[in-house]
Amino acid sequence: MPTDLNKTQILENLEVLSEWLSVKYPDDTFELVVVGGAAMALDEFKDQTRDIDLLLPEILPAALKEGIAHVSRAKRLPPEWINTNAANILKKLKPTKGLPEYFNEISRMIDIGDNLKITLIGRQALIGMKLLASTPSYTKHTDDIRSLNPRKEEIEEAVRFVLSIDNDELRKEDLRIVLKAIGFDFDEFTGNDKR
Amino acid sequence: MNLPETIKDRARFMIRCAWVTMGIPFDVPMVNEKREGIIDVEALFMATFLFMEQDRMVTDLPAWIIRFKDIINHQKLKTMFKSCPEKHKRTIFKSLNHDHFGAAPETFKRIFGLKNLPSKEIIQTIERRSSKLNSLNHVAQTSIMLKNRMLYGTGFRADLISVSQIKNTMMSGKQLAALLCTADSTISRIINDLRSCKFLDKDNARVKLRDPYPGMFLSTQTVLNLYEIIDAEEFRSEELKKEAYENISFKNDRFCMQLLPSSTPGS
Repeated sequence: MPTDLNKTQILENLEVLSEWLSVKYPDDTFELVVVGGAAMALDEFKDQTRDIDLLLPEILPAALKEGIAHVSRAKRLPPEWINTNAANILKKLKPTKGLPEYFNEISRMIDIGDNLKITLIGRQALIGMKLLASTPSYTKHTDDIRSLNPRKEEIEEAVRFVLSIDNDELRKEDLRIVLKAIGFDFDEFTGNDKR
Repeated sequence: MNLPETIKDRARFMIRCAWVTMGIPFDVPMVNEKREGIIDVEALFMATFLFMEQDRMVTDLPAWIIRFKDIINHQKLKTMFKSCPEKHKRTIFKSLNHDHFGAAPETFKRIFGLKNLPSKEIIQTIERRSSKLNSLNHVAQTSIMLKNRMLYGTGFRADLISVSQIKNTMMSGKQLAALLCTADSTISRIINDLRSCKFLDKDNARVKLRDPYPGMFLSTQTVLNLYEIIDAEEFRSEELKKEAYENISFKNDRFCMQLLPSSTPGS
């Protein structure tokens, strides 16, 4: 069973999903908002990703769930090759003021078929989500942020976003290490002189 | 429908054979339930509507529905139609949207939302065809499900008794409920009754079963398999087609087992 998908494979698998949906649910149309590694791979910021993380729909409709399961079996993909884990994490941690406006921005839209459209989340939200997921011990997300080559203002906004969800001391310590690894100074963003 | 003509023709032939067992005098051999398995009449309706053409079925089936209306399980038919995927519902509705079905009893028409009314000529044609149908006496000898409905009343109790006549059934209450297209609670109640009077044992198998039937020839599973087969043939992707055929279960479905060529994946 292949574990990583490149851009071509992501698109091919989505086309198969679109075909399955068009045969089984010919009257329905579907839109997926993609975040994470798949959004980066589709925008060619990274070569491969393990799965397709969705921001929307937060809860998969039955037809999509069924289609994902069938395509998983047909293409020998992991059962959660498309999942809403990212949406669930955000739903659980949702900042009190709600998500920043830029979570509604999109980088681009791809028509997979007449019935299936995918939308790639905007760059700022992508960096924010990647920073939220990063930890010092697991470098995948840190590497992804590095691949996005973010500007200082983008990182500053991402830090603000992460802290709006979790401003625990342990999280701050993690952010300090992660940011250092990608060449930024956490304390510069928070106005904290303590090193 | 992208099904190859050979498969459609074969399906129509086998459906006509099943209707001969139910008493419609088509010029084909009947399905011998003792040899090939039991026919669930409501599942047969659904399979028929999926493949119906403008032939004698259009006049003979309404005649059969009128004659045998008391032994049709309308509740089961309604559940089957309600759970049918929308695209196949359209095929069924197209098959039934024919003036001859306007002559069917209201209870039948309501299930499919049929509103058409038959002309005098159509009623006369159906009456003529009705006289050609086999009698209840005859049908009771060829169809175990209809016989049991005559014995025990048209309902899930009679159908469960029919299924219990299959050799080595060993199905859970849930599986039986799915097979008979009814609620788990309905089957659970009936099973309790039948166990209490030592008709079924703890594995839901018939106590002292004599002269068993080999399985189901045509059942709810057949209808589900037919949806899968019709859809599978619409896939361009060979992987999706293969996966769809792999989902087909021939347990309780000798109809599809005979329908599909042996080269088909899953058969």
